[in-house]
Amino acid sequence: MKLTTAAVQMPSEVLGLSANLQLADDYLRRARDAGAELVVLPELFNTGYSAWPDFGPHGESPDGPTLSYLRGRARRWKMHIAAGYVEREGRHLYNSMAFCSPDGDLHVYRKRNLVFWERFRFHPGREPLVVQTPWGRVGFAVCADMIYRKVWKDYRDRIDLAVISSAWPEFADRDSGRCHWLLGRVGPMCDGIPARVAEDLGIPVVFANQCGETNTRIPLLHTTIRDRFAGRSSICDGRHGEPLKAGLEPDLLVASVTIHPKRGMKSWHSTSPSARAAESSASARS
Amino acid sequence: MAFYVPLGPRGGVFRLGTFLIGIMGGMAYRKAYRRRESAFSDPSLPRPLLDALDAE
Repeated sequence: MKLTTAAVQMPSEVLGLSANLQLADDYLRRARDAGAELVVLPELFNTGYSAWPDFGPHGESPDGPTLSYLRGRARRWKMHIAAGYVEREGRHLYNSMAFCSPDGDLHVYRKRNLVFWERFRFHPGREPLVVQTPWGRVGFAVCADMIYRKVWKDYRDRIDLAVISSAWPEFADRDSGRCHWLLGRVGPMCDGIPARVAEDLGIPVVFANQCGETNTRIPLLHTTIRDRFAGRSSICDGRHGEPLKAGLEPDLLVASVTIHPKRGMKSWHSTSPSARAAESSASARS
Repeated sequence: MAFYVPLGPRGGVFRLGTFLIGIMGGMAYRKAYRRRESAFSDPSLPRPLLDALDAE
């Protein structure tokens, strides 16, 4: 089946909740007008992504303004919305992604692999999240999660579509363009990883990254890069055709992707030569 | 933890850095966690904005 998806590539003002929600609302409206059934917003789209001293007062419960707004939009506009925000549960803060359904359901994925200053501000999540929707099973990753093999190993054969919400920087000085000596090659990787996941797992991947200026702080190295977010959001339709990609500027990507509802062990058994070999040797043994 | 994409020799430095940051960051986080109240109120938005966001 075909599913119309959208990736929102937007800049977020640091702690500018009102401005960020208004901007996101414009993009969601445009995505709805384009017929999107699934829309993905970047990591921490509501608070902005920055090494702010304490996100405590800006963290939200499920009844907070960001999730109330997203749930309302998902219900009213009959679409699924995935978006990154600061989650607060008691004293703990998480870098989380909410997944809101048209029927009012809310699922929350907590980023598992915290990097740089994030580990000083957030508690890491422990579990992958797979959500069953009418069109298939969705798996979630937030930014640096996507560089770790275990994340995709956990999802292999368990999901029909992957959603990645990100605030991935370029790791290069935004004025001179000079790349950071250690991480300069990591910035452009956000272009290739979602496409590789799509090819490897054979599923569509919707990747929404922030854009605009930022300062990247790297603890231990005592480095602050006058950086910008890498943009390059993309929608990859599994092994079907070329990915749709954004540049560095704000953008809304809308594309139709192919969901294979029978993906999983059943389809793997029917398509993989190694699986067929394993199956035949198992039946020979019995 | 193994990387999904090859990071080359920088991967080792990244891994070591992430490990050390994990320890230091975890300690800093615990400190902030203890200072934080467990009861909290959600941030609020101005009424006109809530109405605008609620509008069709």
